[in-house]
Amino acid sequence: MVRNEHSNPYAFLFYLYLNVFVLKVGLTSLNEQTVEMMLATFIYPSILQPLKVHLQRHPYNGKDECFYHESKNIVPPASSIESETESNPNANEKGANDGGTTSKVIFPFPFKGLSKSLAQSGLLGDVVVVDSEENVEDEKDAASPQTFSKEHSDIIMDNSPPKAALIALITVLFTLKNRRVIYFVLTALFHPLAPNSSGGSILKQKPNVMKIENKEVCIQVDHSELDIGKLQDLLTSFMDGVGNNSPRNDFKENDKKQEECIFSLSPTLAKMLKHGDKSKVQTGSGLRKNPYREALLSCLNGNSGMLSLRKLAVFAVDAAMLAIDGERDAINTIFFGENGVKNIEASTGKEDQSSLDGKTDIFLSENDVSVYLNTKSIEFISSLCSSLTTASVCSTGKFL
Amino acid sequence: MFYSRRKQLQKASPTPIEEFRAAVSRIHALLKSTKASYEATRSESSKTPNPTTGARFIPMASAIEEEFIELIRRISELVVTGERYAANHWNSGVFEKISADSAKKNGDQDQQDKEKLQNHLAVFEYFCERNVLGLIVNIITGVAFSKPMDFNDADTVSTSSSKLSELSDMDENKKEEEDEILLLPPLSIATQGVQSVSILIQNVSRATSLYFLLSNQRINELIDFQLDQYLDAMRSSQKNQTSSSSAEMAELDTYFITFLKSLAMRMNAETLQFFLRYPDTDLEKKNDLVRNLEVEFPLYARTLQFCSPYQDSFVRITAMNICLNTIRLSTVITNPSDEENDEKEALDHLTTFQNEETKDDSDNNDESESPKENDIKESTPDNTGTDKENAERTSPTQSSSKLDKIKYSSPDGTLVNVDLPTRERLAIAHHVCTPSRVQAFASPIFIKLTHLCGDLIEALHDLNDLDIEIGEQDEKDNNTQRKKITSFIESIVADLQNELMFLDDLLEVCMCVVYK
Repeated sequence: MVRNEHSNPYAFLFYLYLNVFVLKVGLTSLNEQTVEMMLATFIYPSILQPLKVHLQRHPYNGKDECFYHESKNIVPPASSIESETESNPNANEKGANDGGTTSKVIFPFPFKGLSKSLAQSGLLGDVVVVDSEENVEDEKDAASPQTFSKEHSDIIMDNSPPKAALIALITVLFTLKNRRVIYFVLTALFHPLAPNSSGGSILKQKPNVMKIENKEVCIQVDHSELDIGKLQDLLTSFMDGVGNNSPRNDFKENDKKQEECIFSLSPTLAKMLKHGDKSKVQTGSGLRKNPYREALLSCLNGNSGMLSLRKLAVFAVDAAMLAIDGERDAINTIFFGENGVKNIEASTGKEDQSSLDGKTDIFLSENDVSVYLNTKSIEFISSLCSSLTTASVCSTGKFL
Repeated sequence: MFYSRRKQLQKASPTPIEEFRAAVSRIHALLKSTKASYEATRSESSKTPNPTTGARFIPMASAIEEEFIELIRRISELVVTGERYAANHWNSGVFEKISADSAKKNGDQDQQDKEKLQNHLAVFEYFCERNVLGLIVNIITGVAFSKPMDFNDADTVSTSSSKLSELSDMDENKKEEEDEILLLPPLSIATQGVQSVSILIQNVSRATSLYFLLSNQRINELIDFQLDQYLDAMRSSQKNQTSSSSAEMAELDTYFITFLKSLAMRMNAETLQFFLRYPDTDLEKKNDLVRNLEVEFPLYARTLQFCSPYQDSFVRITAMNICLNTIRLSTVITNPSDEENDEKEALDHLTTFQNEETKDDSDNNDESESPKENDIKESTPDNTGTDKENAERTSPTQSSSKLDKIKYSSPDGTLVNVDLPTRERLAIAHHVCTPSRVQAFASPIFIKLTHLCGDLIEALHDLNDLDIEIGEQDEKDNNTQRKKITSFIESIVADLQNELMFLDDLLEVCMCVVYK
């Protein structure tokens, strides 16, 4: 049939017609299982984890000694704000993290470090001359591109895995057209929060292929063209495990031989997409701060020795924006958490006011979850700005 | 002079039914002689220890092998030609016309046409009566060589399916006593056999003919037949070292998946009963919708085995195509709605446009022309599913109502038009959404993606090494090496994209990847 369309243009048109109007649907249950499988077997281990591990193992983080033996003159930062241990009560005292490495995750954008980084980059308007005392503080807070040279970091570190991960991510975002998958992948990578790697809730349910509408049984199908709002509506039944009109409840005890679907990541991501509200998202409820987002923003910002990954990171963000067609709601929900824009606007107003007063302290307390979401919005935008301001125009006229 | 010469030629060339009978008889004779020679060889070498289990190729002279192949090919060709000829004339009413007019006119031409038609009809009848399909399948699966069969004169001995099953039942007791060697034909014969069965399934025109083929239990046996048996036979015959044998095995895989696809393309509301097996249900539970969703689907289960990432690319794509087409059966919208009416209007428009364009071509064609042997769609990987094209070619002046008729009429191999009852759709959806089946279908994609990511890391690592070693090597060599690695990375990314397109197709239950 397939090859036939090439030989017969009318048949090909006919096929296209059917393809466009009729066949762009998938079985919901099949898609749910496939997306869960994709997240568990491909997205997290092959794309997200290499980014995170690269950030953790980098010499700037000063925890993995095996990277230092060739360049002992590099002085790792003495300390940094270890937000992971604060936020994640599951992390053990030895500093073992979810990636399985012994190092602790360093928050790549501590507020003091970020403000100074922004000040140094000129984003705040004035050229700031960093004095020696500030340099000492910088070393304590976090590594910055100014303190370590590219030679020291990139030659020692093998950056092939994160590069491959970013290339794979870009390919995924450019190739896949199914919105459900795109939203889940972007949420896993860009949302300020992430599912805990252990101890999270596991949802078990029998595959449900039918629903009852208007007293008629019909098959549950997915349409590929979903906006974020429609997806959020669909996710309600998925998160609860049992649909409202589902005949799934008709199964009795003697149906135990039937296989069950197991969902772990998708329900949490669905919860984040659906209830990104600060009142419902708490760091102790199976969620943690997103280390993958931090890794990608580090790449964007070019700090922590991830300068060599910046170009690919910019492409990845570009692909992400194209994948969701710049949909405002999706950007608010995924990139900033819910109400992210409002938080930004509020803080921007505060910034303007404080600037008038001659004060530049625009950052609020780190412990507050709402402020956390707020600052996450700012750090994302500032990272983009940072990558933009440090870009150079190549001969083709494009920014690099 | 010319007339007498023509008569002589006609007398010399056998009629299709005669040729068909001769071919079937010859196959039986060849089977008998091959089996006898094997038994003789075996008794001579009985002193030497031989393996008593597993699969082995039956020894066969190359001339006999070639004759086998030609006979199987010719049989399927004759059946399809005869069936299609009969179908064309039957549908156009020629048969009745000939019968009615022949008494009045009694012309030679009409009489010849009638005889020709009866000859063609007789071929398919003989094919059914002697269960030749079962014979071909038995040859492929090795049953014809392994089990003792009565190979007397084909005209006098009945080898119908009932007889065969009786024989096999009788021999079951003996089988336990004897050794359990499965004797298989050479790969070339098996390949031709599978191809012939595919041709038969793809090309029969009449619904009754198709029902006969699909209802034959031997088809299910062929679906379930494990091709690994041939690999075992290759190992035991120590031919596995040669590359030609592995190529033949790959060819058999290719034709086998094509056979599965030819079956899948024949699925519709009428034929689905041959593909789905409903478990025995009590009368009380008959109305239990959820329980009735439990079905067995041998074709889908067998196809899933070919979705492995280690399969040949063509085999894997075809297997995924079959699976997606099967899943799509459950997602096609059945209830008419406003949206569908719009679609129908678009379809009408498209059909009208198509009709106008093809009108000239259709005028030149003689519709009553008998199908030539060359018209038979060979079951090669390149033209599977050409029924759709054929259906559209043979009905160029049909309106959209005709298309609707096609939609609900006998199977025509156009799966896109298939529309099933809700219960069957639900049963298929329930079957394919079982977690183990979803895993068997989707996990190969992710395995492949993970492997490609690993390859990408290695390639990038090599590129990094090249950067570090710059200056130590010759710059020219370095550039050459860099180009090689870069092109390799590009090919990996292309493969990544292909796999992701598969995934996209899976999520949307359609097959677009081949076009892209």
